Amino acid sequence: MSGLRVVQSGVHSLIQDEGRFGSHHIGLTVGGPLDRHSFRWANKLCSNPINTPVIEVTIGGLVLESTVDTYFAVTGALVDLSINKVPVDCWAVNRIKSGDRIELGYAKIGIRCYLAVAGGFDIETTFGSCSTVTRESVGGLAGDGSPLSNGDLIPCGETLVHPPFFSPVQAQPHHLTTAPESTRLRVLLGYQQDCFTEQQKKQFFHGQYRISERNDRMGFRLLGPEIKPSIGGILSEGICQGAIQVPPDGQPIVLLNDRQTIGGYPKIGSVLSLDLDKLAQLGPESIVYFEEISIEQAHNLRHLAEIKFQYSEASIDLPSLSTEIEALLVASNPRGMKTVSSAIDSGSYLRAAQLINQAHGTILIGTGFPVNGSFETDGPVGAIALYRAIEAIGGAPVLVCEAPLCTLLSTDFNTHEIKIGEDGGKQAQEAISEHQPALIISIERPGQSSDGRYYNMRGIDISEHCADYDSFISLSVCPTIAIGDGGNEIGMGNIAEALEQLDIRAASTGCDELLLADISNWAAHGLVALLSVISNQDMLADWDNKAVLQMLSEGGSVDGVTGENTLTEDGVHSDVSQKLVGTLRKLSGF
Amino acid sequence: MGTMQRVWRPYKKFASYCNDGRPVINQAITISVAGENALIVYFSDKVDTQVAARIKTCSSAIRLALGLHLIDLIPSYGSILVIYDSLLTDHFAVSKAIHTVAGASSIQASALSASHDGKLITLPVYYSLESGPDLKSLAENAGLSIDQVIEIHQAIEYRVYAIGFAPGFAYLGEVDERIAAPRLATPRLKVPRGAVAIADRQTAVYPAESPGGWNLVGLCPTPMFDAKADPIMPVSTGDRVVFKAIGKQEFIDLGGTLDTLGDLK
Repeated sequence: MSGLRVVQSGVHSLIQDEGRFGSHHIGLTVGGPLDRHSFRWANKLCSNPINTPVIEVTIGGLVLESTVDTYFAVTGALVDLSINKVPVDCWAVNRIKSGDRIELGYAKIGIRCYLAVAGGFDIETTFGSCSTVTRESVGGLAGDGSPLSNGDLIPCGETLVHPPFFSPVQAQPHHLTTAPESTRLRVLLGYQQDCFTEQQKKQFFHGQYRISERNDRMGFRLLGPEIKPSIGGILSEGICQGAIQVPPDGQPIVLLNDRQTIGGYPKIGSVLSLDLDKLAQLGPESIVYFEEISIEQAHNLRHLAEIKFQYSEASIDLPSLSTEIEALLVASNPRGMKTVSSAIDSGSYLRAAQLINQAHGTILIGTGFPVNGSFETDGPVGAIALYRAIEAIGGAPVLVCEAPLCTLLSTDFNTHEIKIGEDGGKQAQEAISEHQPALIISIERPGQSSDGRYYNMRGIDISEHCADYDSFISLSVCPTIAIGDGGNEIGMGNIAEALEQLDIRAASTGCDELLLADISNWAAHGLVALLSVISNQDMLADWDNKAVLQMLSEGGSVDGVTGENTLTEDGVHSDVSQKLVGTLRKLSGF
Repeated sequence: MGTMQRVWRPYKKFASYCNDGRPVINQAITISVAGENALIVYFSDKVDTQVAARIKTCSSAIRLALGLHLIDLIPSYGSILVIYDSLLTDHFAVSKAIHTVAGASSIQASALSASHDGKLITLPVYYSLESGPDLKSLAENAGLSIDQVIEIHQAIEYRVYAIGFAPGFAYLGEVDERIAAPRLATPRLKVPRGAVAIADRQTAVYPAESPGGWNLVGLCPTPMFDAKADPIMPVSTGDRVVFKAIGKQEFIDLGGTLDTLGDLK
């Protein structure tokens, strides 16, 4: 079983989901997070459903060690947070790898933090919830109400993909960044309010109350002006969240999540739930005061807060997304691209996507790697993906390749044919003056090596089967982007030194922005993912990898690795690419 | 501050609608705001088996009427707390629904009441000054001997009026007036599991250690709430309960412990 191991449980750490509902009739209380706002944000940051279990850390001191690769977020009180002693942000998503250690310091402003992991903790529920209620011996890891203790393993799965890259959000409430001098608690009068005289209500609403030492998840006992109801006790009745009960000593108690469900002290009303979130972050000696509101106002405030929460969009951090995509696309490393990727400055995909987005006018996309008189599936698929995306954002793409690929593509796409054996420079010059491109892209085009010849991955000279697209790149006056997955493609000149460690005849043609991937087609999907975010269009949604491969296959395509006419790319099944597209789509927040 | 109308009175027409014009006693309900998403429905301020029957019927009816709008519901002696989803509905709609079902359910309730007498459960209690630290003050205030208090507590067959406050906490009524005692002015932070206690005319067994303001008279070894047991609780609402005094040894033999008493005073 994988998960987060509790190295130090801290002062008081509890598993909490939204709470336990529907069991009041057998006396079970609600439980759940005391600061619901922070709880909900912890899950939202991790793209979890709102009712996903998190850890509520009171005061702090929690240390966890991960046995999985995943993402997590900490919200709530202002606290120092670090991964392997390196400080990271709260109210943001952080990545952890197996073996990493998460350390929470002690709360500086506020007292409760919420730690959520992407995908949530996998914990069995008791009475429909895993919220820990220590007093009731219900919920938590073992279902017996125990708080987290050293050595516990909180189960959670691996999450390699984290959907939206939220930057530190604006959701962090002001009262958790600046210690409030006093906190307003808005109150709806209700219950036995008639048992309190106008004079007493005035005292209640005009006085200041101090939070006593006696406060916990059941309720906060306040000290201040005494208010004495005309009756000492009532027939025991149901108590709702935030109810303010007044025992005979006249000192009000605000009842919270772990409150008793039924009680016999008179109650003057209840605190608005939004203000309970603030109350829950206050420690002893903090000052609060009460303000009366109507149920209609409460209703409106609650709805406004909900709408604000629901409408808070993921703000995606593009540089992080780009880095993530770059790592993802070379993760399986069949041809050493991961090995040489450090030679390229991080952010290449984002820079390339921005070049595409800024290019107004024609964009030439050269593709097609010749294999035995035919062409590879790797290259054209990606070129088509880019073609569609460029069209969608208002550009004018043109596919550039030699026959027979060009003939096949010309039925559905704007194409420009290049010929084998022509004067490359002249051919390129004519094409450039004809199209006046704003950007030139090469995806999986063989590139000239230092001897001016073209070689395949096995080092065999294939110059006789290759048209010259290199000259498009070298003669262009516009920016150029090149994509490759082996080292012998156009663009690889940028990392010539790094390629020396690979056993290939490397291409020497360079470009402005070189993109690496395990399969060149994948790089196109990665670019489209970034373009989707930039243009706010879900462009990967309707990508059907198999259909595109089918179309190419009918035109005689072969797999570049196996040489077979199959629905594969570099020996990889179409479903793998389709799945990758799904992953990229999620990464870009769609 | 304006005087806002926070109490909804039942529509007059229900009195006649429910009962073919005949005047009906015990029909009126009062609905008050409890919190931003909770209304409390008051049926009576008296402990009464007929009221208990009506509350039971009405609870089911409210559950049905509100459906997914209902978050939770707490029936008690004379009231039902209705917690609703304020993102889906509001107090006007909920209040209207309650009035409608309260009118209809009263007819069924009167037919049902007293027909179900619940099962009879005997709970053993170790009464002593050691296990019931408030016995002495209770006896003194009542002008009775400690033994008399113990005897009077056992003499009545109680009814389970409500379950709440804590899992398995069954409110039993009604205690003989002679030994009824108000809650402590300041509740104890820790009352042991199994504590048998009195507050006003109610008595109960604390199912788990918790804070509490009731007067402690003894300890009961029977677990009142066990999530893994079936049934979870030995009693349910509407059951009858009698207490039977046992000695210290029998208390321990039945699984009771005095270790949890701590610094009770």
